[in-house]
Amino acid sequence: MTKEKTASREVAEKDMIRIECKKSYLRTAGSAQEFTLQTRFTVQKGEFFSLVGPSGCGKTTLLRLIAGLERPDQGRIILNDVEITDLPPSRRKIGFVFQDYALFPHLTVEENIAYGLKILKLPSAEIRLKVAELLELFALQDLATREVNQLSGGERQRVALARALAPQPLILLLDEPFAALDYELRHRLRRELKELQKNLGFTAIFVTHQQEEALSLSDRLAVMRSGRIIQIGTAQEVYDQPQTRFVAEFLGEANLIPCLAQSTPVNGCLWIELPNQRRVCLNLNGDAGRAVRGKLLQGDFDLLIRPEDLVINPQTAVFEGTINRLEYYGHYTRVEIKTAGLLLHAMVGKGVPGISQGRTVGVGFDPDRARLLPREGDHR
Amino acid sequence: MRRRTQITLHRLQGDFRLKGKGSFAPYYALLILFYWPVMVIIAKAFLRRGALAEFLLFLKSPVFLNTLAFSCQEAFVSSVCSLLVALPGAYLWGKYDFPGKRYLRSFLILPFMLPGILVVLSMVVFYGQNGAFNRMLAYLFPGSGVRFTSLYGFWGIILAHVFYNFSFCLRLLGESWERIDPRLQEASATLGAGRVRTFFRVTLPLLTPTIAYLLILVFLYSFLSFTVVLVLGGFLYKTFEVLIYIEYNSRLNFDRAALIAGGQMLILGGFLYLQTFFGRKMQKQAVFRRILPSLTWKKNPLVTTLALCYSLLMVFFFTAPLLSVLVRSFRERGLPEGGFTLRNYQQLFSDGFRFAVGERFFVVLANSLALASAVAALAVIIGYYLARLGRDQAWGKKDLWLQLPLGVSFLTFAFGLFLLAGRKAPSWLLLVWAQLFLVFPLVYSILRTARRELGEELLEAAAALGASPYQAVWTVELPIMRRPLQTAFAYAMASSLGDLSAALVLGQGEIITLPVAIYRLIGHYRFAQATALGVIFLLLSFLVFLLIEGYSPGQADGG
Repeated sequence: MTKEKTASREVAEKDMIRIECKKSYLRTAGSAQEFTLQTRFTVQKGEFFSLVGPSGCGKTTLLRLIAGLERPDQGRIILNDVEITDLPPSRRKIGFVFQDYALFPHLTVEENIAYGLKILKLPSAEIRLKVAELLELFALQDLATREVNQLSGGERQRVALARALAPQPLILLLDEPFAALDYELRHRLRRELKELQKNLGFTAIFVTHQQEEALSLSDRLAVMRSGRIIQIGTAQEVYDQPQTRFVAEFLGEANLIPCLAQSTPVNGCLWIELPNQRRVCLNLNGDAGRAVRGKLLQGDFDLLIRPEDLVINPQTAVFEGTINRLEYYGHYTRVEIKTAGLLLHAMVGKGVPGISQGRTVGVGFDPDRARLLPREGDHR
Repeated sequence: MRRRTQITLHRLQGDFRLKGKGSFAPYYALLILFYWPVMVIIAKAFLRRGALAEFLLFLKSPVFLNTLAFSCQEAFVSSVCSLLVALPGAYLWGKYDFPGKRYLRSFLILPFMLPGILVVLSMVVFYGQNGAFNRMLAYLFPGSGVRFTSLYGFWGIILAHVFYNFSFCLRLLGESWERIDPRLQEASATLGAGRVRTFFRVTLPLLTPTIAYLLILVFLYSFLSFTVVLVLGGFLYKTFEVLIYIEYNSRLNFDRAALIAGGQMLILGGFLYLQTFFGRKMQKQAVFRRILPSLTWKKNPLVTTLALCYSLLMVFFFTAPLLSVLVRSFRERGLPEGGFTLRNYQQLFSDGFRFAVGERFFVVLANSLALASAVAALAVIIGYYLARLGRDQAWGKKDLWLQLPLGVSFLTFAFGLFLLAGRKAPSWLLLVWAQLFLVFPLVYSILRTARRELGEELLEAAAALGASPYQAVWTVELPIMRRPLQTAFAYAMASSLGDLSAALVLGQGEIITLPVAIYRLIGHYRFAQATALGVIFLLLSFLVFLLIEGYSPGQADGG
């Protein structure tokens, strides 16, 4: 009992922000319709937390609720053990990096960075010192007196980050800050941001609709859909053990094969029947059946196999099919195989023999790498 | 104890208001101020006993038919000529980059900003019997007797209207040309069309909405022309505006004046519909920004030569009349052959000036400046308040209601206001009221567009950095909006400074402004003093133009 209490206090002390709120609003993209956002989650101190989901799922609204730019209809937001639900954004000590940076066009780079410090009415000498530090940290010294509309996308992004971090916020919110950048720059800045967060130790909530970005940056991430959080976990947990078909398909590519689970597991082995009537044993004690362990194991499921887990021409093939399409991506080739009324996607590295369009191949997979997902309640 | 108690002191309510909240009272007050005088005109024109019969009779009268014929004729010729004069410039503008293009863009606003009476004065001084133009003709064609004698007549009116309108035609058409995606022409070429065919099949159809819009706009401006026709039209040529003024001022026939105003309103309705239609089509044109090839002697000797000739001609056409006002203001008795003198300026302080104008020079200047500043300040404050109030909404019906002044001639409004409150309210109040009506649509459009372009994100960014709503407005919003505010203020000042019609109708001899003073000096044939006063007025207009230069629409920082 005492142990439990101590553990829960430790967790509570680690919590930087707790969000439990509900907001209904009119979404005007396409035809106007009422949309309800309802979430409950916590972010811990020093954590890099991502909100990921398709466009229009409520990520940005959630971020704006946290920043105080919108008000929730119900619920509360607790930052560092203080309720801030009714607090105006100017008093929340929350930094915000907007999607297109929202740099003040009438101010220079250094004036932009100094803005929040001036609002805090710090002595000028201190402001100068802090600005100089941030300019150096973000390698912006040479651009200090430039007007912001003379900067490139990457430079703007760095100024926006420096400006948001200058008043030393308790938490930093980033609303798709890489959206406007090209691929190369996005990669570089992503790495820089992660390093910066590690070095400075600030807590960050990062919004993106790009799964790759969320997976590579986050300590933990939440997948959102239609105003709700569907799953929270580390990047590996959410990718490898998605709890729903939606999460599986949103984060990376997924082969979802309808299958029938046979009644009671025997010795931890759950037999499932695939569409081609082949039976495969899933080890329920391993990762494979974790999502369904303890549930009624009978009826229709989806078997999730990631493309990288499909093996072409293995010793024991489960499916046989024809190569329908080949897409060459340089470091790997994406292979589309038509089999038993299904289209399977596999990723194969260089130098795999026997792969050409129209060719019949055998397809197999490691049952321990496959996941069984409940089919009900999550239709696309 | 939780820290909540402390924090609730700074509750969101009443502390931070991100969404625009405020009273719409000024909006409804403006609607009353704008529509009431118009209703008075409509009532007087159509709702009194026997009004319809009188109106039908008026429609058949020679006065109506002659005025309609002349107005349509001069407006049509003015719009076509303005466009034709602007066309070569628009082509060069749209196809090439050349040194000084940026400055030219600014310079081209200037003619449009000039007060009407100053344009008339320049025309009289330059193209008049003893003007520099006729002297030039005599010098170029000695003994041939070639002279320009049509200033006081149809072609004089056209000349003044073209002088007024060609510059903004050039700019608008040039910018429209500039925005045409060159890939469309390239696509046409790859499909086998030559240059001429591409022009007629691709370029011209894309320019058509702008051309149509400009034709109708210049037509409307010319149709409603007052100052130019009043001075240069004599007894023979009258627009409806002049006719209203004559009925009101000379014959004191208010019923008749209201009838003409009502009739003009009906005619304008149709043109305004067309103007709005083409205006919308023009705005639909895709914005394509590209780097234009430089116009250089080496690459395009022929085009460069033609461009130089055209530019010189336009500079001459535009600046020569204004320069001749300047030169003549320093000549003895304002005559071209007179010696250098400052007497014309000294005479502005004489009793002769007071006798001709009815007021001392400084009072005239103070009247104009005080009136223009008051009107501009009022328009900008109300305009910005309303622009801020509707900042998260697209341009809608509410905004359109405020655009009424564009659909009613200013003289009609001023006359309606005179009928409504002419004998009850002081002249200065009526003038402010009328000029607010005159300047508001443009001021509101500038501020509404700029405020909407600014959006909320920068203010939110300021809030996230700790700024209170008040601090966010002072440190972010107003500094960014400074230029559009400045421009709106300057446009309002320029319009108010240049207004002659309301000052004549509502000033009632009590408030004399610079345009009224110049009008009276011309009426007394005191051209020498008129030119001196004109130069001062020109300087004032130039200062206002410099203010406008701070910002032009579409270049807002808040972008």
